[in-house]
Amino acid sequence: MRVLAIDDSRTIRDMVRLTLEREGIETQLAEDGIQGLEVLDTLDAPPDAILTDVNMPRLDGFGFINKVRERADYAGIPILVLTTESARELKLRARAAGATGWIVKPFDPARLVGALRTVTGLG
Amino acid sequence: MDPLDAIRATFFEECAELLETLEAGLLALQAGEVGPDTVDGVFRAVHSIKGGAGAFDLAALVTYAHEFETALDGLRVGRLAPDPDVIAVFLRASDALADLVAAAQAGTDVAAPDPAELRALDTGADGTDGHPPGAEATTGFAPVMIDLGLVPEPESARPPEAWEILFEPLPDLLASGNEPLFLFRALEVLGRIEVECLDGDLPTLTAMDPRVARLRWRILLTPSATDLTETEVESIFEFAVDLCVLQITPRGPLAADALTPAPSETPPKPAPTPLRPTRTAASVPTETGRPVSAVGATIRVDLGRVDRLVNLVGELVISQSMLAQGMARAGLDQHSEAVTTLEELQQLTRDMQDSVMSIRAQPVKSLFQRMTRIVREAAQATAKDVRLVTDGEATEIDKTVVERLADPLTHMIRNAIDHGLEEPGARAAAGKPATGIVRLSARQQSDRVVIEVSDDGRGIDRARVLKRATERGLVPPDRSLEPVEIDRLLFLPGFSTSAEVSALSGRGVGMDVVQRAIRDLNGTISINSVEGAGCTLSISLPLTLAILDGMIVRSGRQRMVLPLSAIVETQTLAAARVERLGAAKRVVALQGRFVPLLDLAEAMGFGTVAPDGTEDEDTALLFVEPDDSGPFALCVDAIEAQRQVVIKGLGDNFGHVPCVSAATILGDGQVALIVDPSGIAAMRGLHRGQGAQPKEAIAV
Amino acid sequence: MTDPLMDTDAAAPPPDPVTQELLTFQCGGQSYAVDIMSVREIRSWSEPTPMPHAPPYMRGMVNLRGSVLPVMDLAERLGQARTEDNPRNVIIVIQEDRRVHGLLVEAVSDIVHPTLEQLQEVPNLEAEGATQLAERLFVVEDTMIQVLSTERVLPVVAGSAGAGLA
Repeated sequence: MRVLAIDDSRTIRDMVRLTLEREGIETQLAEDGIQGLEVLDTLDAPPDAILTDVNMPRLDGFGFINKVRERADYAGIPILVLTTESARELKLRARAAGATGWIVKPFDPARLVGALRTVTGLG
Repeated sequence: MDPLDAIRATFFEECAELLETLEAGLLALQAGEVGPDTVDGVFRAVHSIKGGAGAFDLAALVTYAHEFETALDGLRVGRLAPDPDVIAVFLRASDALADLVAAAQAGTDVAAPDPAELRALDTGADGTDGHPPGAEATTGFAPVMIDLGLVPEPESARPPEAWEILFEPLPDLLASGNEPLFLFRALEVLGRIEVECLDGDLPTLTAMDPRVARLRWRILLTPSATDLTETEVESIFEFAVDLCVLQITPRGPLAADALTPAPSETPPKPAPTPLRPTRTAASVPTETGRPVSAVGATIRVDLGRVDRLVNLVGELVISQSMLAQGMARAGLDQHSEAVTTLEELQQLTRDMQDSVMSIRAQPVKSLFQRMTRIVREAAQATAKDVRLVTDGEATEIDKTVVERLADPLTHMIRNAIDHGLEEPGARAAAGKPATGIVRLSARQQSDRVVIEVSDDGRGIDRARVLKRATERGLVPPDRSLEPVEIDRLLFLPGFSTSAEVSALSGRGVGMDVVQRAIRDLNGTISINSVEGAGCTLSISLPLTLAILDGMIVRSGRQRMVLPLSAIVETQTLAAARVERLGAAKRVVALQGRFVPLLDLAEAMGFGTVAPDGTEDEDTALLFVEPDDSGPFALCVDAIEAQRQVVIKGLGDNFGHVPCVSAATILGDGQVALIVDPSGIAAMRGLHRGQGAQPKEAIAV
Repeated sequence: MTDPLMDTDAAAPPPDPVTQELLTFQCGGQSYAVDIMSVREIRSWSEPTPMPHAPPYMRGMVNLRGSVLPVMDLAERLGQARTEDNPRNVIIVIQEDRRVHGLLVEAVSDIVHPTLEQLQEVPNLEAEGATQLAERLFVVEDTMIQVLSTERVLPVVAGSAGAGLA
C-alpha cells in the first residue's frame, strides 16, 4: 500500500511515517495542501490513500480534498482526515469536501492502519 | 526529535500525571476518604503505567507495576482494608514506582524495588493479572497503548454464527472515496462473505450517472473468529454510516438459542440470550462528537500550540499599541468613533490575553503533592516527626513556573526540616508538640503568586549565621547588622559550603541557588524568622513568564526595559544627592545611604557615554536592589513609559547575553532589551560576597 | 520549539546531486552565494537594536514579524570593513538547524544553478588565519562567487544548548 500523508507538524508527519512504515506501508509526506498536490503530480501512480491534516498553511485539508476530487484521475482516492477535533461540524465539513473518513489525533497506530486497510480494501 | 522519542516523551508526561493521581488517591485513602472511585483511580493509574511501560520494553517498570497492581487489586475487590499500615506500604510502593519511572526516563539503572512488602499485604491474591473491566478504557493515551495479552471480559451473550448486513449506499458515497468493493474486502478479513447485489431499481443505462451509487447489497458474513462483535462489524462501515443505510442483523445459532434450547455444544445452563435489536443507521451519525460527561471535560493540547497562541496574542497587544500610537499622532478626537472603538478593542485584547494566559496556568496542587514525599523522606532521614500542612493548592500559576519550582521548594522544605525543626527532645523542652509542622501555602496577590514555606522550629540562629558569614569574609568583622540583614546573609553565594553539609539538605546546594532559580522566574524571595517560633520563606512570582511589567527608559541611543519588580525607587537627577568618588565613580544617596551610581547604557556595555553632557531635567535615577547585591542606582536619559511588554526569549539564536534577560518589541516595532539588574551587579562586582564590595551598599 | 521564527518543517526534498540552487549577493564589494534552501526570506533594511557584549560584526536585533532576529554585518564577519548604512541594504534571513539569523548585505543579485563541475574547492590559504567561511567557489561571467557555509558563518553561541523554555 502507498499512502500520501500531509500535515504541517513534523512530529505528526514522523509519527505517521513511523506507524505506517512499520506496517510496510510506503509513505510519502507533504507539509501542506499545496505541497500535497505537488507530490501527487510527481508520483508515477496515484497513492492508494491519502491522510491529511485539516489546519495547514497555504492550502488547508478541505481545500486540498476539493482540489483532489476535482480531478478525474484522483477522484476515487480514499482520503482520511487526521484531526484533533471530533466535532460533528468538522466531520460534516470534511464530508462536504469529499473526505472518505477521519481519524482523531493523537491516533492509535492500530486504528490508523486498520482504517487505511478498510478504506483501501488492501488487507 | 526521533519520532519514537516523541512518543516516549508523551509517555513520561502521562506517567507524571498518573503518579500524581496515584499519590493523591493514596493520600485520600489515608485521610479516610474511602470510595470505590478512589481505589479504582489508584488501580488504573498503576495499570496504565504498566501498559505504557510495556510498549517501551521497560521491563523493571512493568514487573514492579504488575506487583503493585496485584496488591492493589486486593484493595479493589475488598480482600484488603485500606488501613494506615496498608496505605503506608502503597505510598512507599508509589515512591518506588516514581523512582523507576524517573530511572526509565533518564535511561539509568536503578535497583529493582523488593516487592516482598507488597506480596505480604495480600496473601489472598492468586498472582494472576487482575484487570478490572474498566482498566482498558483508562485514558485517552492511545499512542502507546499496547496489547499486553489481557483478554477482555467475555461477552455475556454468545456471539451469533453469522451476520446479515444490508448495505444501501446513498448517492454521495462514491464521491467521498468510500468504495463498496473495498468495504467488502475489509469485511472479508473478518470472515467468509456472500455478497448479493439487489439491483431492483436501477435506472436505464442512459439515465445512469456513474458517480452516483445505485446498487444495494446484502452480505452474509460468517466470521472466522467466533467472538466477532457487532461493533467490530459496524466499524468497517465507520466512515460510511452517514452515507448509507446500514442494517446489521445477527443470524444463526444466536437466534436459535433464544428460541429453543441449544442442542449440542452449548453449556448445560445457557444464559438466556436476548435477541439483539437490529440497528439502523441512515444519515444519522452514531457519534455526537460531544463528551459523554460535561463535567470537567478537558482536551489534551500540545504545549507548543498554546505557546504559539500566547505569542500571537502578544503580537496583538503590540500591534494594538502601535495602532493607538498612530491614532494619537493623527490627532483624532477623543470622542471619535475610532478612538472609542479602539478602547473597546483594548479591553477585548486584555480579556483575551488573560484567557490565553489561563490556559497555561496550572494549580500548584501537583507540585505540593510532590512535596509530601520530600517531607516523608526528610522526616525519616532526620528521625523527626513532621506533618506537612498545605494551603491554597488551587492557586494557579504558569505551567513552566510550576515545573521549575520543584527543585527550589524541595530544597527549602528539606532545609526547614533539617535545620528549622528541632529534635523531638528539644521541642518537648521548648513546650512544643512533638510533631513539627511544615506549612506550604500558595495564594494570589494581585498579579503575583506568593508561595510560602514555613516551619514552627527554632528560627534562624542569627549569632551563628553572623559568625559564619564573618569567618567566610562575607561581612567585615566589625560590622553590626540588623536582624533582617543577617537573615539575608543566608542567600549569599558561599555562605553554605559542601564541607559541612548534613546528610539531608546538604548536597552542596545553598540558598543562593534557590534564590537564583526564583530570580530566573522573575520572582523574588524573602525570609522572615522569629527566634524560637520558626521561619518563613516567601517566594513571590509573576503569574506568567510571557508578560513583564516594565519601565521603558532611554539611555545612550537605546531604549531599554527594566522589570518594574526590580525598581525600588525613582528620582530625578536634579533632586538626587550625587557625590563623586574619585574621577569616574559616583554615588547617590538613597534613604540616607550612599549607593553606587551607574550610567545604564555604559553599565550594559554600550561603551562610555560623555558624563554630564547629556544630562537634563529628564535625566532620572532608577534604584534597583537585586536579591544578591546591595542597592545601586542606574542613570537614564529619560523614563518613557511604564507598561506591560511581551517577553521574547533570546534562546537559541543568542545564548546567554550578560546584563540582558530577554528582549521585547515596543509599540513602534523596534526591538528593546530587557535589562537584568542582577547581571549588571555581577559585571560590576556589586554582588555580596565578592570581596569587600558589599560595604559600598551598606556604608553610610 | 515555539519560536515563530523557526520553520520547524525545514523542508526535506533531497538535494539534487547535479545542481544546487544558490542565491548570490553583493557584500563588501565582492560576490557571495548561499544555498537557497537555507534562505528563509529577504528583508529590507531596518535599524537593528544593538546588543551589548557581542562581537562587533553583530549589528543587533530587528523585529521579524514579532520575533527577535539577530542581524550580523556579513562584510565585517568576513573581515572586511563595516557595511555603510544605506536604505538599499538588505537582510538575508537564513536558517541553520534551529537557528535563524539575518545577514546584512549590500544587495541580492540572482539565483543561479551551477553544476557540480563548475563548483571548485576553495584553495587552502595557509596565511589566512581566520576560519574559512566559504566552502566552494565558482565563476559566472568572469566574477568569482564564494559559496558560504551558513553553518560556519553563524557565530558560536555559548550556553544555548538545551536552554529551557522561555
